[in-house]
Amino acid sequence: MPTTNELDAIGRFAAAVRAHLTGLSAEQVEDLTDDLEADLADAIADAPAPADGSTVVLDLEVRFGSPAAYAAELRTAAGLVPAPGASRLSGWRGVARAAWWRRVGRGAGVPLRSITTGGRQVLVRLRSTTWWSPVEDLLVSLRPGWWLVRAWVAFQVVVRVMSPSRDYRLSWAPHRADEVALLVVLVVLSAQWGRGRWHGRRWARGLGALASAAAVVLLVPMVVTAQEHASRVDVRYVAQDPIVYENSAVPDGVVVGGMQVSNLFVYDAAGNPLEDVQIYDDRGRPVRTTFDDGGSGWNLPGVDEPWAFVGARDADGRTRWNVYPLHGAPAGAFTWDESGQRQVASASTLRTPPLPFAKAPAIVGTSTTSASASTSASAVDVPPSATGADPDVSASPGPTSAGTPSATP
Amino acid sequence: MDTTQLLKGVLDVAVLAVVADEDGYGYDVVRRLRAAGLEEVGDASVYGTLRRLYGAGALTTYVVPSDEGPHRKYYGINAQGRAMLAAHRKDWREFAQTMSRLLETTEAA
Repeated sequence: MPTTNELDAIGRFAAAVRAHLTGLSAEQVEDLTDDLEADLADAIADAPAPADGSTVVLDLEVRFGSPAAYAAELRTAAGLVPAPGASRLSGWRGVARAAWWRRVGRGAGVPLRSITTGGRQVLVRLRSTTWWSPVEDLLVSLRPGWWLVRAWVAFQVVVRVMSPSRDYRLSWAPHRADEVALLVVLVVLSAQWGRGRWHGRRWARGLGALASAAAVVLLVPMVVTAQEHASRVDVRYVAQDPIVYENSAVPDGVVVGGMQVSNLFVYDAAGNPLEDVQIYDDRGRPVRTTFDDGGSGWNLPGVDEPWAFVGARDADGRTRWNVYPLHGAPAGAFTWDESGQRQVASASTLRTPPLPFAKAPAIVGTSTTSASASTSASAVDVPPSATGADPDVSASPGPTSAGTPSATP
Repeated sequence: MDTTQLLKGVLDVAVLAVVADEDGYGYDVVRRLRAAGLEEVGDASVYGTLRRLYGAGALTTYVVPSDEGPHRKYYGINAQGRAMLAAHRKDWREFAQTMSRLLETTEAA
């Protein structure tokens, strides 16, 4: 009677054989293998104890060949189409197999085979322990995971070798489309290899074994490299858009207290409001508060409806906008005729906007009141000594425009 | 010469002969073949051959229930199988004679 250990081994072997019968219907597989466990058990029961006298250490692969080979022999003998790419592995057994190794594999394959033989022996020893069986089951079921890992290692190697300068972006997973495609291809390759699809030529098998071994060796370095790249702080100095302070101020115009003003109100030295005052700057350019030629409406403080302004007409026929205070009317008083010209209902509606105050404080110390030798009469300069004027007053052109410079003898 | 090569050609008729002698299940046939002297026949080859012969209609199959072990599938020969065996036997005899003659003449020469 086979022991539990033996039964386990048989069960595993039989399952592996069935797994290798790819391309067949379930019924066909069943037909081929329904007595497989029993036949294997019989074969083992018949076999003598191993020559080295150790306890019956079960290695079915040594006795029956690999499950893949067994499956191939089975299906060939049964006349079924061999698995795609499967090589003819019929007739291996014991002495014949050893003869084949000797005949064919004297040269380059020896190191690989000695490794696999050594590996087999380790496996045999492990399988003789009681705890190995479930571990092996787990490892076998995790085999597809190894295919993925192997593909990932190959992917990392390929990408790093092909473009080392690009690796600042590549850590664990691919970013670009072509990298993703490469990884997918490698996963397919690895999985198909793991499933035993492309074991056809001997050189293919050797290459695959070599690639797998390389993947095992390179696994740790690739993991370390990927970890390094992932944790690297990507210092990229992104140029900040310079904060453009748009010149919100009107490029031209009169700004007082950060606000653009619509009009200038002029008062004489005595504080009386003046009309039709022409204002020029130090270069002789007209000082304008508006540049819309009367087109826009202005919100005036204390006035409900926005106003629009009308320029003054000078002797040359030009419309002048530096004549203050600007005249205008509430926007509703204007209409537009068919040619787009603005029309006002009647000339009488054009008037000065409401004055900020009826009378400004009188200025003292000007030439019209009492002459002071030190008083200068520049138009825009307000001498500190002469100014008793309230700074809040709308910009006044000067102490006096009518005053003549005092001549000091 | 490696007998595995020789065996491939005649495994069918060997299996038929064994089953014709007495019905048997898979490993039973293997055991009898080995006992007859065909040491190097592979288990899987025999099982596959049994299946193929059954598929070709040369063998019958039935399951024998067992109390102590698993049910075993037994193979038996039928009329078609016997005819095939007879034909193969004739062919083999002729072939063996031809080969023997050939080998002896070259040896003698």
